[in-house]
Amino acid sequence: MTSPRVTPARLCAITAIIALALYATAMSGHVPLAKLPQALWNPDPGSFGEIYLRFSLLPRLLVAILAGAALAFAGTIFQQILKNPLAEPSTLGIMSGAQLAITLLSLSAVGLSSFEREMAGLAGGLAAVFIVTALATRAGFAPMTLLLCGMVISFSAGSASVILALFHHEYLRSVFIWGSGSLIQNDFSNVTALAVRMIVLMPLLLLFIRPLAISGLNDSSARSLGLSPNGLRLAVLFIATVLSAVVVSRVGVIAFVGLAASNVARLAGARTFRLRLLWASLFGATLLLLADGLVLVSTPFMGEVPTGTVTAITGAILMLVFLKAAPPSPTQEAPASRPRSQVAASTRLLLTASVVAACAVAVFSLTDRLFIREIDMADLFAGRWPRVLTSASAGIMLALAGSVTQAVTRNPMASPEGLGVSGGAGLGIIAAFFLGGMASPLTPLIGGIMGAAVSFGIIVVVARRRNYAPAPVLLSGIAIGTLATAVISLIVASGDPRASYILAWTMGPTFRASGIVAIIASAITFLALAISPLFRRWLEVVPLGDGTAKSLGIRPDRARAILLLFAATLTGTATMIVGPLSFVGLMAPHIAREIGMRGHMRTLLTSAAIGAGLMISADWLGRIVDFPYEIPAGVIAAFIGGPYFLWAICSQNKPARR
Amino acid sequence: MPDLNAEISKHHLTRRQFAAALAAFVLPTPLLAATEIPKIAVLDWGWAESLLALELAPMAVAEAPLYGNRVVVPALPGDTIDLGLRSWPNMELLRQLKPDLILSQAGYGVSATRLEEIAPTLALPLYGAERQPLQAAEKAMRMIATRIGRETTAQDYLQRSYDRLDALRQQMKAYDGRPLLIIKFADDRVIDIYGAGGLFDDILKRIGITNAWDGPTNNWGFATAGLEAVARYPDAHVVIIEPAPPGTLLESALWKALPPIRAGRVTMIPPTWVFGAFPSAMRFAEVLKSGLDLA
Repeated sequence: MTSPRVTPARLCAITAIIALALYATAMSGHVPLAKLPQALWNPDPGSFGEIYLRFSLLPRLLVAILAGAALAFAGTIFQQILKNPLAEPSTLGIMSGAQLAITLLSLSAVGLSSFEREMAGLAGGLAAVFIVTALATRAGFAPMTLLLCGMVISFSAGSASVILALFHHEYLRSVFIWGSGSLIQNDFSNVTALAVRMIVLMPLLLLFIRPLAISGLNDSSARSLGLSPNGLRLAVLFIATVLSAVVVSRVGVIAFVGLAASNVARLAGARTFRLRLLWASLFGATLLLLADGLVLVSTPFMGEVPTGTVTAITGAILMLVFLKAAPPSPTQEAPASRPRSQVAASTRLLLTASVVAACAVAVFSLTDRLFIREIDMADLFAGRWPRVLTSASAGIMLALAGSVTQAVTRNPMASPEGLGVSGGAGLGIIAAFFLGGMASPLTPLIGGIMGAAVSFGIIVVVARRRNYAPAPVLLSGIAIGTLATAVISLIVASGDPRASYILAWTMGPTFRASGIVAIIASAITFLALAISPLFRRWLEVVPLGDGTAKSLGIRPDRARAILLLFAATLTGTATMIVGPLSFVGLMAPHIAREIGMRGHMRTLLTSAAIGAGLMISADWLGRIVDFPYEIPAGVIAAFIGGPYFLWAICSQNKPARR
Repeated sequence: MPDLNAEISKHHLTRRQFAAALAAFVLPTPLLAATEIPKIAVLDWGWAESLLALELAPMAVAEAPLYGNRVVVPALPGDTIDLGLRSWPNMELLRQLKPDLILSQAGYGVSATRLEEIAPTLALPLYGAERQPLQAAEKAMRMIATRIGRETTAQDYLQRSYDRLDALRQQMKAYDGRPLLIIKFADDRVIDIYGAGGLFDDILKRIGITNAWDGPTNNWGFATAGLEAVARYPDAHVVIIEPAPPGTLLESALWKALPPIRAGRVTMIPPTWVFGAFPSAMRFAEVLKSGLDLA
């Protein structure tokens, strides 16, 4: 599939030439082209343009080259060690971990020095990798598990940063400017710092080339050569993490450069690990330079967009294209559906119990007066029923959407959150906010549903060719989730006072629910519950595979499309209420199965009741933990849901090891 | 039947609104009895400082502890109740407090309709389509004063303020008249520049000083840019709102090459609340004056 005319060297040269041309164009806006060399080497101290070129644009160019090379180098190593073409610093949670640590430190100390920032970023990045590897060790370092854990750590750390921003966004603006990955430089300090660290760390990693190239084959061949595969992985992971965390702390979150560079190098014909390491680093450098050149040239027209945002957006699209184009590999086969046991007599009891529990939680939340003691019951109820009703509706909608998604993708770990459908809905809500304002509660609702439907559509297109294997489906979700995060941090970094409003919207504040929203949400929920029995046959047959479905007279494509539209509508509506990161759509069906529910309809209804109970509890907790400040219920649910997700992945993977 | 009920309640509301409007025009008496201190809940810091300027302490203010850090003066009494986030206060706490009046900024945070369910609400615009926040702040202060029966206090305060601004305008004639570029460091690389549509710009106009920044600004009257933006105005005098940029930047070749900096035309002033109302604007005028005197 590789044309012989495309070689890594040519590709790098072409990218570099375009990038340098863009840079030259941007520079000529400050200094005449003829005087460029003189300005770069020996600027006239009297001319600001020349000084600017020498002390701002030149270091910027060098930082882009160094950071791009370092990230691509680290990314290639991560990909080799994890045997996964989609591993890189951002997908392993390093960037979000570093971001969270730096955010926390900024709150405790005013005016962070770059050294302090670097130490915090290092600590955060290492902590993220430590958690991810610790969890993955239980699953015997299965590459997929590692990546999924990284994704959840990334989401959880990201949502923690967002809550902090919600409450302190004026203080944290500098952190968000840094986080969005702006490459603006005012001197050579970052250039020297990056160069020194790369000169130490990269040769250190090169020592491992041979064992890495071998262990890339498989564990047993590495073992037969007397290497401890886990020890080797840990050592290399540690150094590569330090390298990426250093770049993140100095430059900010630059997602996907590592991913794109090594995959393009591979596609362009760099077959061996050594070649990939070389060409990916060079290509990473030119790629980041190209992205930054585009930013520089477009700045006069649209203001300075952080380069990290540009790489996140293009990288996310690139990742989706890769997932669609890459041939299916045998390790990514869909898991066989579990043999369904006979419907036990106790399932009716379990269903009743979960409904009763959800109702009890609702009554408790409706009447709780922990902090508000001197209020009439009528007044309390007037303000509280909408939020309890909306929380319950959102929980039910996410649980239904999760159950349907898991059936359609034949993947018990799929959920609207993990698939990025919630992220897409969040993007739709933000778009609606900027286009239509807050005129009516329907505007964001429609935006949310559209966003969810579009992202669902993308995932279906990407995943169909791969037979809905879990890995590509979940990884498409990472891509869309990253996109949503990039847009949010762009808005916060802009300093727009509306940022806190948008942050709260995307985090899903049930406390904003008005009576109308509650009634609309519950009406949609009732409708969904009422029509869900119609999908019963599809839900039973679609997971068995297309062949079985066709033989039973069902058109699998149509069934899947309708089921996904159903799930997208519910996700879009629920995201508007609880935000994109709740994990309830994953948790509720999972818990339902864990407590022993069998049979599609009853499991569906039980998970709906569990979802409602979870969301109402989250709303209640959000109300009391930091009174009078309210924490969005979606965030609380994410804090419970993230660890649950990790636990579920690990316990699922353990017996699955062959 | 529900349609009929809706119709009736609609008429009922209109009648009440009409009566209130009539009362406001015909009878200049305040809606709240002047004898007892009204309980006022404030969701916007600009209105909190305006209320304090009217010599009335609010019962509750959103993010009251943070107000002390950001707005600083006029100070809130220590026993002011914290209402939660400005963008979304705790509605249940608000219900329990049963305020006589809620002050909010129109177009920001909770909609007035939702607040009206709890207590009478004044949702006043500050950063609106007119892009004249100082004028909006004055209008808002007068409306608040009318509502609480302190029109004379407001009149006195505004008269004093305008007299003071006129005096400052006279004093500013001693200044060399260079346009001012008012900036604040968002981090060590990125600056906010205050221009048209902002409170500071309105004050500059009032005291007869040109604002150097003629580029586009956002809804709140500021633009975000890199340092090279300063170089676009080589004749300007740069005013930096504290906190000061890091020492490494002040030492850098780039900073020293900026034409206004090279010529020594730079002044540092203490921070004032950027998104505030009349008292914040006055505070800015005062710190600017002392800052320029020092330069």
